[in-house]
Amino acid sequence: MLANDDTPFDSLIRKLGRLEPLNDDAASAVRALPFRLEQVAADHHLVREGERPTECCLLLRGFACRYKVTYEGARQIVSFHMAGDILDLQHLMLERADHSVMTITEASVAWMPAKDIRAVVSAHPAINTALWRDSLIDASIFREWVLNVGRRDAKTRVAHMLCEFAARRESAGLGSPEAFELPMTQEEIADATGLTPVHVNRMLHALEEEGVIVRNKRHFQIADWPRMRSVADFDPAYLHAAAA
Amino acid sequence: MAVEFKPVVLHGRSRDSEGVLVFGGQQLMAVLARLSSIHGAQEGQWFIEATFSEIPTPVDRVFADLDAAEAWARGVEH
Repeated sequence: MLANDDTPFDSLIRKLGRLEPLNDDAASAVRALPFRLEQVAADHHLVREGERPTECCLLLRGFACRYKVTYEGARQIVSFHMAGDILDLQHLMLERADHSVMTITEASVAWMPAKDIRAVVSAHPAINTALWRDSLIDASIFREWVLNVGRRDAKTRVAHMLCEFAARRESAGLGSPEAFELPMTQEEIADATGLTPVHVNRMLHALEEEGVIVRNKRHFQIADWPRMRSVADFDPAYLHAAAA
Repeated sequence: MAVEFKPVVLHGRSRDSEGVLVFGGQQLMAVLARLSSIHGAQEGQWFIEATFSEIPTPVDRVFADLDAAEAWARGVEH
């Protein structure tokens, strides 16, 4: 374990503070958590379904996803994650990983022993409240994804995923929602929206032809947010503080 | 079983509008679309728009050519 003096926890403290105001004691307790840093490549598994993790993984830089696979090997990505997200908070309370977590870009992560996080949560009610809210917001996002995959047409699904990514990215302090590098491949967007890469490619071209987005490879610009929101059926209310 | 392809134009599309109906005997098995230039290296391959068959489809739902689609329709490995 490294001695931790500063930055690894800043994004987490900022995020928790948005969910519930943290006093200095609580912020110090987060900063005092033991951790080990790891730099990982893209497509690196952080958690595999069936494992029994004893550490929780905080994403410091880069992007990751959670996914499950069918018996035949078809993958469904169930969420995307960015800096400041704890990727497997459920392992504070649940022993066995019920899904897998992997990076989609190069990333830096901090592993923190679950037992130390549990101790901090017990000692600081504000941290408990913030993490509880974080889990509930995760659940709200999962509900929205069920709606997206189950009931929206292909173009709306892809547009909705882009809107959510842009809104959460802004909230995480990673920059403007109007222009960004999209870290996902079209295959990953397909696995997140229950479509094929062919459909995703068609829908991105359609959004471009309609003048809603402008693309240059992975660089995306949302040219017309009101229309994009309308095309995407996107109401950020379900993101709660994740879009504040 | 005789497999036949009937060319069709898929409605409402500026791209990927060239299609075929795949018949196994009298039965419609699938609708395929020829992938256009927006799909880069996949241009000219055939995408399964809809299938009415129980035969498992390739994961990406794409056939390299109509010979591969015919092999699929005959229920053989492709």
